[in-house]
Amino acid sequence: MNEIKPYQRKLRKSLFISTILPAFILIIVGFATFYTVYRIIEVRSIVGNTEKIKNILENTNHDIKEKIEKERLKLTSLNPQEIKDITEIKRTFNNMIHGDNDTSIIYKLENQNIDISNNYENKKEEKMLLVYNETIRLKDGVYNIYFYIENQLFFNDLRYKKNQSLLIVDKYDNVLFSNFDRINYGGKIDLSSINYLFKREKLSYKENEVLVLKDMKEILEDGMKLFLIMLIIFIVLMVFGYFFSRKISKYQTLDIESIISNIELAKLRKLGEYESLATSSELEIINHYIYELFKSNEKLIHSIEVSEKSLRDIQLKEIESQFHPHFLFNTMQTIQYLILLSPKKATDVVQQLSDMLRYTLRIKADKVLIGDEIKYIKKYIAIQNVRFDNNIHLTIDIPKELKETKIDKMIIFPFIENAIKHNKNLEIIEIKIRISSRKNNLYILVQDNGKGMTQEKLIDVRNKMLISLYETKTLGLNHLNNKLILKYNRKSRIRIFSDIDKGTLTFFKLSLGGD
Amino acid sequence: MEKLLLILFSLVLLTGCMESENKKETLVIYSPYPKELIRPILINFEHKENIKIVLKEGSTQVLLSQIHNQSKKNRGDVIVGGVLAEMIENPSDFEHFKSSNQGHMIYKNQQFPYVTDFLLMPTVIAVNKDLIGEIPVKGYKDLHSFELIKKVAYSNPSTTTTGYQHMKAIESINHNIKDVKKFMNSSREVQKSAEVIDGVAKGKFYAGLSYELDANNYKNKGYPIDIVYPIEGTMVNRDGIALINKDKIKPESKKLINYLTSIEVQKEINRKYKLQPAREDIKYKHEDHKNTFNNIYKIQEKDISDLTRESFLELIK
Repeated sequence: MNEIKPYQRKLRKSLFISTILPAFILIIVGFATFYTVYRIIEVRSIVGNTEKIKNILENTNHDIKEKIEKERLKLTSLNPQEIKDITEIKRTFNNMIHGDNDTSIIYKLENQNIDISNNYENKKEEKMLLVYNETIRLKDGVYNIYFYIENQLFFNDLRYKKNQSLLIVDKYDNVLFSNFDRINYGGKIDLSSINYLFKREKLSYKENEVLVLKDMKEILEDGMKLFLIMLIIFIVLMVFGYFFSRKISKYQTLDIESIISNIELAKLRKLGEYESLATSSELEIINHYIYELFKSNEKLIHSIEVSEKSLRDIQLKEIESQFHPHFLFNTMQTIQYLILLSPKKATDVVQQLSDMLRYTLRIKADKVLIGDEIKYIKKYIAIQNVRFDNNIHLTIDIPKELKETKIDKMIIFPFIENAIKHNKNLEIIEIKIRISSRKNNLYILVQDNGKGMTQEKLIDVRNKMLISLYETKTLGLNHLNNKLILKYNRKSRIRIFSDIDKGTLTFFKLSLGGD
Repeated sequence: MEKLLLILFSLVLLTGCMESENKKETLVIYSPYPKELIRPILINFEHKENIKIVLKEGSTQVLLSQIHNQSKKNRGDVIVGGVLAEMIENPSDFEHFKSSNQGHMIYKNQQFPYVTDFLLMPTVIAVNKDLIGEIPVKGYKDLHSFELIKKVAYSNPSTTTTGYQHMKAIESINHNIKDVKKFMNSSREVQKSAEVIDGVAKGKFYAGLSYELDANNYKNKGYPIDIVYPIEGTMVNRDGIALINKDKIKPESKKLINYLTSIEVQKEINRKYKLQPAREDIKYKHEDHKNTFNNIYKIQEKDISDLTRESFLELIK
């Protein structure tokens, strides 16, 4: 079985709960509601039926009593010992009991010698409901007369259709009649069980009570059986729900899986050509976006790789430029011949060169004091003047307070180097450095009196300064220009002005607020 | 998962197959007889022929009406009991059939080619011994006596065979329809023939017009019933069997008719229920019973009104 991922597990859990929980709640609520409603209906039915039975019994009792009163005189003249009178007695009692078609009544007239009854099927007395009895005087003596309800349509309906039982109890709770299997004639009633729903009403003609009872045990047992069946179904449902939710969660997350897989491939930079998802949905937007992102990321990475390479080259060149190999070589040659001609001067040059190299190599900070930068330039000029017989005149115009201002290291030096490089054949090279500040800006100007440039050359130089930082083979002014623009802003770009035979002026400004 | 679903599907299929295997050939039998009489006979036939029998009960008229209203495809197979020769109004609902036992019958000729005699049922006057006292009841005429006014019950002749046959018997005495009306006026009409005998047995009526089988049943239970065969003549019902006309008549239906008229069944109904068999070759277990039946005066065929049922009922309204 495949491993299931956390989000799939969550989805599965949600699906599972959304399937099972309502079913479970439905079963519980259904059973509770069913039982409550059933109970309410039964209680109402029992109350109504008790009242109805009470009326039936009281009416039957009253009816028989009235008929006996009516026939009493006649009965006293009849002798149950005589056959002729027996027929009349039977006719009289039969006449009394056939008033109501729904009720079948058994009569019994007895003393120690005579027993007259219509109980032809010999039904047991305890199985019949005694509705009236009295002692009656007949011609030959006193007799007991009993009237039992043997069969009653409503009682039958109650027992067999409504499943309610009828009991008659005396004031001591002795059972005088019962058609309920669990409580028998002659016993005592004990209705403490929660299974019983019942209602009892006092009868008006005796100190007896009529009691209608419903045994809920069977209902509860049936309910429990049903509950167990439902529980089994519920468990089966759970098992099915578990498997189905697992299947569904896996199926429903196929596209998400595909997206995740694409992300993983993108991370490894192995994502291929665009492939749409298996099913069409909103997730396609994400899938598409991943491919787009991957593409642009690849582009960016390529660009960064190119840039990094260029940057490394530049760094190498910067180190190289700081090391000034030509200058070093030339200076070493100068020192070589100065050792012979003027050892002291040679020592001075070595000292100055040594200071310059220390400044270049040891000072790692990007920012240096203007004063230090100027000192470096001065040392450079001094060494070059040894070589060029003091024909380089450097003029520095910097307010004293600005010397303590910090400036990017080696930011002025390339202009000085250029001025000497392009004008080394001149007799006198006048180089002027002017630094001023205004409105929190530092204005740096380097001017020489050299050969200058034609307008075409000037345009060419200006254009070259716009070439990308990374695309130059040597570190020229374009490198410096781009560096200034990147570090400060476009307003800090180098501006070059030149006129043929009049010299060149370069100018740029730096914000004193920092980069 | 697929395996689980496959197993479940197979189980459902298997259950379906098992159910269909359990479906046996079934015969549907209609009968107005009490269950305790007809069921044991049919159970024996079920075992003998290995065929399931479904019993549909009701009064003869209701059953005949049911058969008539059902399509030929859905009808049952055989009707057993009731005075079919009198009651059948739509002979096309039944198939002509002569049982293999016809030659042994008391009545050699079938009344109609679609009715076979099953048993003979004398119509009787049931009397409550406890209540009748010294009032003499020997025949229909006695039921008109002053003491019995509204104390004699009969069942509705329009809806019950018993009531109808008794009324025809009364008419046959003097061939006068007024006798019937007179009787009806002085007696109590109930809707079912069972109510007559129940009412008499339980003392609601002194006497009632019933038939031998019902009266015997109550008598055997212990009720004070006297069975009176009217001296004016006893109408003997020829309870019949008829094969129902339907799309596909099962051979077992015919076998059932032959079985019901067989010596074995005819003997059994006489022995167990003291009923008059339709066959003449039955050796009676109770000789007195045979004598009673032989000795009672039976209304002769010629004396019975040849009015149709409808016309007769119209006249006594």
